Amino acid sequence: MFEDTGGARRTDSGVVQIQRQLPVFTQGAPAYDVLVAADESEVFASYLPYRTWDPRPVAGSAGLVPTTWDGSHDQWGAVQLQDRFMRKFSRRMTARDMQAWTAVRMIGESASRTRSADPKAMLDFLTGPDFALAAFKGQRLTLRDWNLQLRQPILLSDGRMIVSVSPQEGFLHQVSELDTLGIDRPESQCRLK
Amino acid sequence: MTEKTNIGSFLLSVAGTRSCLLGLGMVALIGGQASAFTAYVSNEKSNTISVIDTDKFTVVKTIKVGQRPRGIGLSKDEKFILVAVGDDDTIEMIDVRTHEVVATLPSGPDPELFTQDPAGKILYVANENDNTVTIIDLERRVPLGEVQVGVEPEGMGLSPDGKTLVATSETTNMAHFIDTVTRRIVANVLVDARPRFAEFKRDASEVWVSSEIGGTVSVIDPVKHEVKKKITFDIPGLRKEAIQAVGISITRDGKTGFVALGPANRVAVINGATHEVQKYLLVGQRVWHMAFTPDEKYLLTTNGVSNDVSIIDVANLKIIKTIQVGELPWGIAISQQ
Repeated sequence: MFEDTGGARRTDSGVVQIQRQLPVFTQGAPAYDVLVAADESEVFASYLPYRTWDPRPVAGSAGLVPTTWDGSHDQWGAVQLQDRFMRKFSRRMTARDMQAWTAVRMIGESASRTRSADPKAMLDFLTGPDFALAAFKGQRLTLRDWNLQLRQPILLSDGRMIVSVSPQEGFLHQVSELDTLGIDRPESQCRLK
Repeated sequence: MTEKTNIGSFLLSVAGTRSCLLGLGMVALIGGQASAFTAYVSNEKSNTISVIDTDKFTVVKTIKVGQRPRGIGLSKDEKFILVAVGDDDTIEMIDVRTHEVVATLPSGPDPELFTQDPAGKILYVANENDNTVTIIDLERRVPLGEVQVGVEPEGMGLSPDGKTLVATSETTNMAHFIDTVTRRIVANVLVDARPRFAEFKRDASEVWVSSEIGGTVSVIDPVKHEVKKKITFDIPGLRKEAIQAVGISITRDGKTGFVALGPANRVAVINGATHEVQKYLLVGQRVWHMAFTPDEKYLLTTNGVSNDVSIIDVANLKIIKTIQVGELPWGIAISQQ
């Protein structure tokens, strides 16, 4: 178990220590091809790349990171949104910014399609079969009707570039290939109420 | 054993090529006089234009242009190739005889698609990054004005009389009808997500607008400014998200429309009167824009991911050849010569 004692990276010898500790920490790991870190709160994952005992790529919460947005994403017209964001806010757009944009855009989309500001009419449209959102990800975003989660392609970023966009070619699904990402209806015990 | 098989298949492929060539020769003979036109294909990634002889269907020359060439057209007198080089914020004019860039047009930033008035004197340009349509005097090569439109304008369709310009904005999801005399928007028509292209029928009875993410074509009545029909596409074995409508070409008589379906790698053939899909033609990967030869015998498509151009025999609705061009072919224009 890795314990974040805090502050190590700020002390004069912090980097030196991390560089020594992480190889030792990963030395006893069973043979592996890629190290996947699950650390959404970013406590330890960033320490892993380049510091593992075996030279292996890191993915997950550090290294190759799955994300809904990245400042380096330029495909499918995204460069125009990035430019507009940069002009307005003088910084690059983050995943959280994109989530806010997407949420507001969904409301805007339902208002313009239903020509209504009535919340019920808008919600009915959002959860209905005709809802589709263009969000600079190369294909339409829709809602999973069984849990209302947004179906969307996931960018794989190394922090400087988009390395790939999932779902990867070849992963098939009977409803939508986007449903190959995450937990799908048959695997879930959850029921929307 | 393996070697023998290889030789066998090699011989087969040679025989295949020969019969294909014979086939092409016959097409030329049936056509009587050989009709050699010239097609110009913009290659978005290579920063080049591939020049194709439509008699031999081969690339005869590659012209170096500015950065990110996309929208492409010919001046009405066919003396110049016009190509929007978005990352250089200009439209280059290329002499069709010398293949040299001889002038640039003040297109405004990031030009993408453009269209000309029937007299060939005025150019209307979509500035994708600036939510603007720029109007340019082609003879004097000066800007005449701008029209503010929705977010990320792209498609530019002009009515046959030149009086109405339809600009589509990809993120506002609208077709903006602009009066070219007053340069004001007279109507906004909501279409499906990410509209990319607008094309009028020659008799001005309809304007077709493709929606990439929506995967549909809206047939709009240009007088009432209403969507009178929405064309949808259903291809067995293909997921809905992969069907993305982009380029549109309609025959002069208005009887047949062709819609490029992007990553579906197909061109849909549509009955111009009933708007029913008649057939899907399998072409190269990520088919984007198209152009007819002036005699409308062939329709050429740009296939962005497979880096090639497919030739469709319009009468028989068959792909007769594929031509390798530069990287990410995007736009196409064909001249009489």
